[in-house]
Amino acid sequence: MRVSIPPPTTTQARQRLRRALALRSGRGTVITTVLLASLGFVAAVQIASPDDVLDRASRADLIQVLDGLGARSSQLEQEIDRLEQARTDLVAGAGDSEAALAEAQERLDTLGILAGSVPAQGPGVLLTIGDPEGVVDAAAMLGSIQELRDAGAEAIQVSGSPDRAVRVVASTAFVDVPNDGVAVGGVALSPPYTVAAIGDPSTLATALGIPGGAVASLKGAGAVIAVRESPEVVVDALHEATEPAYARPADPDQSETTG
Amino acid sequence: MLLTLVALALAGLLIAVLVVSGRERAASVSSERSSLVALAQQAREEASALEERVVELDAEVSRLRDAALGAETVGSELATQIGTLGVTAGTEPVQGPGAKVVVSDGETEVSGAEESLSRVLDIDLQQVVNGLWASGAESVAINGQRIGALTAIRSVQEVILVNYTPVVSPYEVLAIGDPRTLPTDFLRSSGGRWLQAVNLSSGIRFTIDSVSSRSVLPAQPVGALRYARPVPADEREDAQ
Amino acid sequence: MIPVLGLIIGIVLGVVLDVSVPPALESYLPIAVVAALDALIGAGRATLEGVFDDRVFVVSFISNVLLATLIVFVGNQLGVGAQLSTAVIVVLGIRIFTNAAAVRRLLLGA
Repeated sequence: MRVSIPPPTTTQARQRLRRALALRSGRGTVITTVLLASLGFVAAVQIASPDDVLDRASRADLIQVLDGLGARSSQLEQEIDRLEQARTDLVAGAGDSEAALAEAQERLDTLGILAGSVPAQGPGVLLTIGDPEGVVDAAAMLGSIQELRDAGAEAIQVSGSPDRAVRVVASTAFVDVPNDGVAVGGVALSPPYTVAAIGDPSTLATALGIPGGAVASLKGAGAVIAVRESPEVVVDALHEATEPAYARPADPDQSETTG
Repeated sequence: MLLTLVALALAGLLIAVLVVSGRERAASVSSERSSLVALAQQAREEASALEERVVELDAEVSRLRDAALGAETVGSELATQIGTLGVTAGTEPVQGPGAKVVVSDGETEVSGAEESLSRVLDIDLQQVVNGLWASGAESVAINGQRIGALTAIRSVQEVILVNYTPVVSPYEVLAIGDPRTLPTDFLRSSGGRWLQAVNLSSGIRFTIDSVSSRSVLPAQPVGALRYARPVPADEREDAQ
Repeated sequence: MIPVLGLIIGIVLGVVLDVSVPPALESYLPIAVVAALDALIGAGRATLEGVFDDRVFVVSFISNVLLATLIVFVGNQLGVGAQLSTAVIVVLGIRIFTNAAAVRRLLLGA
């Protein structure tokens, strides 16, 4: 026989809510609390754990990422060897500043080439871009430079008419000049352009020739492109570095703000 | 009773077959993929451990070198020059106020073909970085990867690589510069306009704020150059 | 009240402690959480109706989580893991919705 219970009224429900929220312990409170705590914990962990992009990547992506990381690791290992050698030399020749001076000069040369304050030469490619249709814009040039860097270009300069050459460094910006070409690092250049890049000639040339790349798109749009590998490319335009007003060297130990 | 037995046996057989074949299929596909994923994760950790070692060694060598050069005027000048150049070349960590641009993938409601449109691509990040330089930024980093002279920003289908290292959305682009003018200058620059256009067409979201406290941008260590060498001083022309 | 505090403490611990999810459990965790939520909201409704029994809550909590995980596990073995997990989520979602609506009626009278 079932006894029908009248449906609870709102007031009853609210009373029960208040009673339930009162601080009270009982037989069942412990295990209920434990269960709720574990639920909260697990839910928070699940929500807080970030998606790993590698989990979602496709097989082809993963292979490319592996290649890239492998190349980077071997570069880094070479650098570690060089640094360890330098350290050994410096420690061994402590007090003898000759080795230190030589090492410092070498480092200065490398940094100078990167910062654009030292002219550089070496094997590489020369990319000439003629623009009869006026299709070469800053975005296209930026894309080509990125492709060159990705292929390992160590020093790059862009020249155009009038007879000016601009060294491309990290902070070089490419901005369209309306009806008149591209401003590279603030210097207005008009076509035809020549991009000189120092690096492994065949790697650079291959990177520029990739279908779907920036250069290929330019060619398709009507620009006149020629890529020439050369055993000796000279990048002697210099970048005038201004003393940074806001950037200061940071203590190498504090490196964790971005992530 | 017999009928029930037969029915149950058949059901059991069907389940067993499904389980075995399902496991085989899933195992072959997923094991290859999960070992690829594991390899990639391991490679990433190795690369980042190597990077840390390089930064450590580099600091140590610099200290040793500075100590060895300290006494001589020529030597200490060289040391100072190396420090200053390092800031602009990206090989020294820097700190300072500036701006932060955060770019994130758009909401993906439909999976498959639609998804790719609202994903941030390498050209988007290239334009952002380019716009920041054009607006006077002095140093830039994306998700902890410093933009140096050798840094390439490249998409490999769904993954974006900066300095050959994968980075994920949301992409936090930190720039050091004048915190009062950098955000507005950036919005007016080609980079800012690009972001606004891409936001309208593909739903990619972005925010920009000035950062008045000092953010620290890590160094991007560079080894010896393999192809470029300096033009000897006597061969250089004095004027460009 | 104390159980609610326990929930909050659990959440705070989960956020503060940097625990990473073991890869093997990755696909089961969200399902387990939703199953637990269903038990939780059911308990909330029972409290408001005056019929809460802590034993019933504990049993339903644990059995919900185990059952949901088991179903998804079997689904993974059969190769229909994604579909079964969707089905489980749909059912749990309906129950959560129903219970939440009942709670709403009880508290707001509408």
